[in-house]
Amino acid sequence: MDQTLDTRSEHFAAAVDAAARELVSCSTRGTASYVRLPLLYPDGSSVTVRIDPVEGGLRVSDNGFAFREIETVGAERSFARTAATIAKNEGVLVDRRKVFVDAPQDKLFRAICDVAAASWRIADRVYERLEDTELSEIEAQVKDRLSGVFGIGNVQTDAKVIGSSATEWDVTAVVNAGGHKAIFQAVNTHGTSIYKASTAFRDIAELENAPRLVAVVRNKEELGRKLLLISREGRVIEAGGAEEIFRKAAA
Amino acid sequence: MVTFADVYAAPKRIVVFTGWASAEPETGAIFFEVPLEISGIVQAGLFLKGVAFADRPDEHVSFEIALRNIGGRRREPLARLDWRPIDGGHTNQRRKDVPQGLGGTRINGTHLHGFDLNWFEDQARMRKGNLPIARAAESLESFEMARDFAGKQFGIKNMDIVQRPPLEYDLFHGPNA
Repeated sequence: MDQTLDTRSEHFAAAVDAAARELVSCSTRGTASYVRLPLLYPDGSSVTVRIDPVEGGLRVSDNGFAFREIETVGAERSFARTAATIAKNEGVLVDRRKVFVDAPQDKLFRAICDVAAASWRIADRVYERLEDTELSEIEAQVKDRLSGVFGIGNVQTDAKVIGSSATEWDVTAVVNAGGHKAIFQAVNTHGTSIYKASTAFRDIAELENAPRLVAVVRNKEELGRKLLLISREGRVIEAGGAEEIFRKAAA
Repeated sequence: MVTFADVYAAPKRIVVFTGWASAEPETGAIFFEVPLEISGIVQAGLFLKGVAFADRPDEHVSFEIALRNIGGRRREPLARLDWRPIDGGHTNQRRKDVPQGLGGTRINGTHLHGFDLNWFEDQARMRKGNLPIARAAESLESFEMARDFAGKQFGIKNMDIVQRPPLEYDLFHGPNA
């Protein structure tokens, strides 16, 4: 940003006004109306609901947009189960492709909010699960790399480690690295994975003779600011890194 | 190793256009999906997909080129053109690594989720999140213009064999309205 706008200036008011007007919009085609809401699917498109007249009221649906969003990445089989759970919580209905609810005119506002929220949550949850799949892939790669670098006999995979709080932590692998132990934990960019690893690392780091703690990620840059969290207690390397990096991290 | 970038850059051809499928009863969405060939060989998992809505003539048409991983269900979209989308446009992520000054920008109307915007050359991978970065596409006044633009962007030589979808026009929204 080049300069700070004065909150009393016309430019400031115009900028806020323009953005606010863009947040929600409505268009009508034939008998259906579409309302665009300020929620974004993973691809950057806006959550949009379709409104059709039905007997006794109005039908609000996501027109299958959440389904389309997850179908694009090949996760459409996750729709039915995920949508059923979320629809129940949001008080909306679901069919093979869309979430919807029928509402009288005076309850339209809330119906739009609920359908939009459900649609967004379905897409978000399925994408979150895709990241879990990615974590499994990183874990498999880490185990493979560790066995190659340190020898199968020195690597205990899917190990449990008790931290200073007496909490038992599941870790990707414990490596016997020439007289001392090193813990390697696969981590992806999802918050749950990072928070779990950083909490476990902090707990284990407080042990007497704490082992080396190494987080293994697919790409360090992908973590952005979360890299700071995970690097407070442990080293961070990439799963595709050179053998020498794995050795140094464990040293 | 052949990367997504190699596949995307290669000249491609639609072997046969089998037509748009009939409208999905729940949503009215209509589709086509065709395999693509490179140098005379139909590539495993490489395909072009089109999506439209039968009751939304001359808007909300998408063309996407994607790869399906062999033996699995996952799909990796490589690029997509969203022509006159119902939701009005696209919003880019506010990340520092978004190229061409596009970070955090809002694009109204037709936009291209370009391969180059969503590919990390140094890491040989796509961005996460279904092609999250897009740029405005040039003025595309008709289905045919959108189709041909997508073909040019995706490197598909014979994109013109993709036929116009069976859209339901009414008195107010017809090709001659």
